[in-house]
Amino acid sequence: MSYNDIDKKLLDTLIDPEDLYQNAPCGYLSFLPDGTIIKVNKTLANWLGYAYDEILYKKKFTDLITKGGALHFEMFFRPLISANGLVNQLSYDIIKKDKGTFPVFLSAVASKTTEGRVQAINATLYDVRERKMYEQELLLAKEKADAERKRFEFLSDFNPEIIWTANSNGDIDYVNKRYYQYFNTLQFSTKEALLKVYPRDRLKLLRIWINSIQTGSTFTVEIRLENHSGAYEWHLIKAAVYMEENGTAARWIGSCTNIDAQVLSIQKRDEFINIASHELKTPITSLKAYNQILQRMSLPSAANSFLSRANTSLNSLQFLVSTLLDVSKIDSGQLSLNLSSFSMKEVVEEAVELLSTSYPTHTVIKNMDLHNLYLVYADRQRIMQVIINLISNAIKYSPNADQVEVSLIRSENEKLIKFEVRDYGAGIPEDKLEQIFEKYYRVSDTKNNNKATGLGLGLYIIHNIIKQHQSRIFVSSTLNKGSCFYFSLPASS
Amino acid sequence: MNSISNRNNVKVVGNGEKVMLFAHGFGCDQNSWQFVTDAFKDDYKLVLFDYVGAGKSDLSAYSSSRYGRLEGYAQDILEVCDELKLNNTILVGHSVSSMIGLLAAIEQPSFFNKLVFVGPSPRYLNDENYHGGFEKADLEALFEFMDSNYLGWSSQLAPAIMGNPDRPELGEFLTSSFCSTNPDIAREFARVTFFSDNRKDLQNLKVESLTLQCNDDIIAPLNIGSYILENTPLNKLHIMEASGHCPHISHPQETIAAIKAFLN
Repeated sequence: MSYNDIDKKLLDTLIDPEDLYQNAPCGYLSFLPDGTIIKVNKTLANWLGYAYDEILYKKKFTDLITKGGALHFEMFFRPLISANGLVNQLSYDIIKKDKGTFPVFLSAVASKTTEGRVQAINATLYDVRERKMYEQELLLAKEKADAERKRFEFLSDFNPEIIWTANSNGDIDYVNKRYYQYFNTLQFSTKEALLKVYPRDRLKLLRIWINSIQTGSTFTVEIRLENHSGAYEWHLIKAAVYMEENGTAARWIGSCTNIDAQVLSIQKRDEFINIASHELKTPITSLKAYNQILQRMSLPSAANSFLSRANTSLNSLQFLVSTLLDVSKIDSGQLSLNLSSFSMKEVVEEAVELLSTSYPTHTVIKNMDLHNLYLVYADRQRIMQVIINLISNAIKYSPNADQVEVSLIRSENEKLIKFEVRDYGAGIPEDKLEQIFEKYYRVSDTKNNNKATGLGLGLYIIHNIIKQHQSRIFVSSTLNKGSCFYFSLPASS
Repeated sequence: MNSISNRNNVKVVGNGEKVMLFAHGFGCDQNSWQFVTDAFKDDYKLVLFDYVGAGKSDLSAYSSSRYGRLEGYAQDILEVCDELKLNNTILVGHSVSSMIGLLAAIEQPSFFNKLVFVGPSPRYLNDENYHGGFEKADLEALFEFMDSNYLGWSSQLAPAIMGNPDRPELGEFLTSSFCSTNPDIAREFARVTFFSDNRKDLQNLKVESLTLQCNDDIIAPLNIGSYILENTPLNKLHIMEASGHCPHISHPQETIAAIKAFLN
């Protein structure tokens, strides 16, 4: 059936224009240019609470609106409708018969005579009570969010560090005032900020940052940033993920602390230690030489005993100085290796032999195949240093035990030789395991009233010597059972 | 290119010798004169402009210190006259422009030949022994209403949701006026207009003037016309049949006839 076939009369019976007008979901109002109301639909009359005879020709449009609205009607509405023939979406508060009000949006068109004079105005009124309510809620929510943001910004501006936030994609969307002060700039851009990073630190920063975005993990990194006078200063950047309540990563909150003074003071300290230990080396060497000469001379027997004690002290002194020199080498990246192929078995045996006189309290049990040389390719002297240090540590930290175990294990594919030293001492608490290889970290010594002893450099040096061999030292420990240190070196054929 | 003409979006039309200068009222711009200008353009040279802050004027020239008083707007008129070398001008001012024109004519009487006030009021607020038609609360209600009609919907929300309240283009009177006006400037202009008091200035006018007083004008009640007549030298009063505040828009023919009668 086509459109033309439809009975027009049927269509007409479907729609009753009068009913549509009267019961429309919006209010209809017609009034004369001076505002006198001449027609109103049932919907609006009901909203207003007026009977028809109370409102038609008795009320003006301006009687239905507030004084401000009425003034506006005269100043804007009437000229506008005269000129343009329509007004759109004006927001009014309509006054009901009972003096209550409700908000509407009003649009109106002018009905004009053929000469163009406005003879009446037809207005459509939409009840926007609910919409206003939602708007109000939205506004409150917006204000609340703004207040939260302001509070955060106030707090972060108060902070002497640079504070920044980024969205979940990692785009930085806020930096506090300190940022603008430090870089003497008015605008933030990620590109500009990256250009402030010392070129050699840039890749390091980006790598860590991208990895953190991908894994959603926190990070800390030390980089140099160019300040407004063009000098680079060390900064510690820390970032943490702020999770939404539903568990998705929402934002990044980060800080950037100037640690230049600390870094410089550490550098100065290291430099001083380096110079001092070098300067100490020469007098110690000559002292030792004179000492040896004295020992060869025929002296009263009492003097020999003192000389021997002096020699022990000189050896300790020499050990301390060489330790400090090792650290200086490590810190300046000058720890070089003298690689060769040698037998780990021999090194272990030599080390155990050497230590047996100093530490008669403990037996060192050797778990290794006597017919195997355990050849490795490494720096023999340095590895000897590591093994002596590890075994003497094992003895020192297990005062109540009478033995330590050392093992040499060949890996299944025969490519690695693993060295292991196990003690039966107090063990290391789990939370300290990470720190023991750090520079200047000292464990408290139970024998010595919990006072730390030594320089806290032994494990640091060991860690770095093994690292220099492209390997890593590991530790496993159980409290009150003991600890086990181990590392592997490439086997040599 | 003249800076004042650019700044005030000056338009010159018509063929006459004598000059008519049209000054629009608050919330409007020169377009509000479109229904009356045709009737004069054969006999006069017509100069139209927008005050700084209104219509297509240069908004960057706006400053609160200059336009915080009606005298600032009067300077706009004088500067336009000065640049176009206008003398013996007939100044037609609507609403607040009546008093702005009065201030201009007091400062530079030689620029002006006659003044036409359309719906003038020297003071909108009621005072002792003076009926301006407004209480302070009425004006606050108007300002509030205007504020709530930017963009045709809740003004509190519009700038807040749509982002930057500092971006004026978002907040123009899109629906409540047929002239574009920056809402912040409009707000200030409204206050300057409605809190002005030029009653003491009326006596200083040395130029002939006509008041077109509408019947039933909520902005300027009937007694205002009589007050101006009594207090202004060389003033004439014409009570119009037209009602409302903008007879030049709602009743252009009657307005034209009244002005012509005065000029001839």
